[in-house]
Amino acid sequence: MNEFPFTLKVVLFVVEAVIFVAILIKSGKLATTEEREFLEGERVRIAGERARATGR
Amino acid sequence: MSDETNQVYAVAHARGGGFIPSGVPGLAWNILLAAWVAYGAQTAIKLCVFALQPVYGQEFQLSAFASLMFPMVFTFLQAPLSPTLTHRTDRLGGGFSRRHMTILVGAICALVAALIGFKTLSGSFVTFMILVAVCALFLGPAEPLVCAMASDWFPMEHRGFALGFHHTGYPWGSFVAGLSISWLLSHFGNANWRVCFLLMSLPMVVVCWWIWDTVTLKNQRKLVGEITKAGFHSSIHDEVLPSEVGVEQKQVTMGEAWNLTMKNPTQLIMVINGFLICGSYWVWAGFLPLFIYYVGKYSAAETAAYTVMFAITGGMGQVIWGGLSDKIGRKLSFMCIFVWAIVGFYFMQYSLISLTWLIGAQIFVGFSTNAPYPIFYAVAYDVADRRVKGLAMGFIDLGFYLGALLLLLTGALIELGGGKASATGYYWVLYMLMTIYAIATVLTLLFTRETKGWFFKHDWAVVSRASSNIPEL
Repeated sequence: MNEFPFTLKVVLFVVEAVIFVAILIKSGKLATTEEREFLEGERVRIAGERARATGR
Repeated sequence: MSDETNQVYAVAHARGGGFIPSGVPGLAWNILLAAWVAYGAQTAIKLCVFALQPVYGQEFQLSAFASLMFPMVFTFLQAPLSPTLTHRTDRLGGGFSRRHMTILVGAICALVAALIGFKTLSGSFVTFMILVAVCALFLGPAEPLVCAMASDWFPMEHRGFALGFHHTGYPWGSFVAGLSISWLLSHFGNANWRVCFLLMSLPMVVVCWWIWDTVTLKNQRKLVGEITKAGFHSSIHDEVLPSEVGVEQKQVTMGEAWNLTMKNPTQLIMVINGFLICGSYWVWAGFLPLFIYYVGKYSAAETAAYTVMFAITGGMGQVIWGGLSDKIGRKLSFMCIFVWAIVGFYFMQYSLISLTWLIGAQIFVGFSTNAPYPIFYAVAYDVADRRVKGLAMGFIDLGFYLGALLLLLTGALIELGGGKASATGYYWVLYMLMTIYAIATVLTLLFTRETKGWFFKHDWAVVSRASSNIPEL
């Protein structure tokens, strides 16, 4: 039987982790300006609704 | 658009086209394919826990009972985070806003699965179990999130088909992942079983990139326009249910969301039936290899091959019944599927007469084993307003995974019937499955409302349409 190389395991894991982190950063912080404004608007609206509901 | 006039526009108003959707914008297909591949990639990680059970069971010297309980705990742990995380995506408005959470849970479960690939980290039973538990916690919510993605972005006229197609990611993903694991074990040997977790986590990278690239606000706006132009209706933009009319509040707390979902009898029965039917699936999947190996006296290799026959028609059943549910109705489809399953389990009693019977009975029952799941999600999406659509699917998921508890009954029945080598207990399990499906048929008939299709107006339910958030036509 062939042994799966440990170095290859490490390389695959590191590459996978780096790509995931990059996608997460792009998907979250580096979303398009339009998306950020849309989501920010949603957060403000949600906060307003909550304030109205609690009378504060 | 419906929400401009604030008029109710439910799935019952949307007139379906043919069985196979035609004229649907390419972008909707693109996102449906992304959701399909995402589900297949999640399934590949799940399959590592199930398919490698004999190998790691041997390494950690687990007893037979512990070996059986391990997949049950893994399945059970997929339930807890689903409602909370799906609810968070509802609060931001669904659609493209689910993207970040979908990528986040996908990345966490894939990276944790990849860590299992290193013996230093998963060398003892305890550390292996901790890693598998963390992986399960984040794999669970990934399922309703991609189901919501398939529903959000495809025209509501073909919701059943979209979810049916999407759900073939499970049986066909299992099939591909099973063959890959088998090849990896034969090539690298059983001692290298951990590498399966690492390699099976890699497709998730492609999936997350694909979702990041396509699930955007820009595409959402583009797709809504294209869907309207093609003469369809968009779930994100056009669907307005009775509970939303005249209500300004666009976001609800968890308590309000609970009331909107679990006080809806149709939704509640979906969760209860989800528990019963998905629980039966776990029972079926656990029962079959033991039945074929110990009672049928087939070899281990033959058993491995003959236990996946039903998966072939399992995927076909999902597409066929999912598409049919758009035409004939979800409730009618459920009842046909459940009765089909009862007949199929009855045939399974004779499956050891010959190999033809064994394969034939499985092929027959396969049309019903996987078919209900997309329709559970479709009904939940049909009756949940936009503030709780993701959560409604999260609750369905909760029912599915709690169903793993039925595995305890299976073991007990087999033991009571004379142990694993005696046919009696296995036949009792088949009768138990038939009874569960009969109960689900009655619950569906009496306590759910048809959301569209042939029997929308006369569906013999004893609960009101208003309580199920379904409009009168």
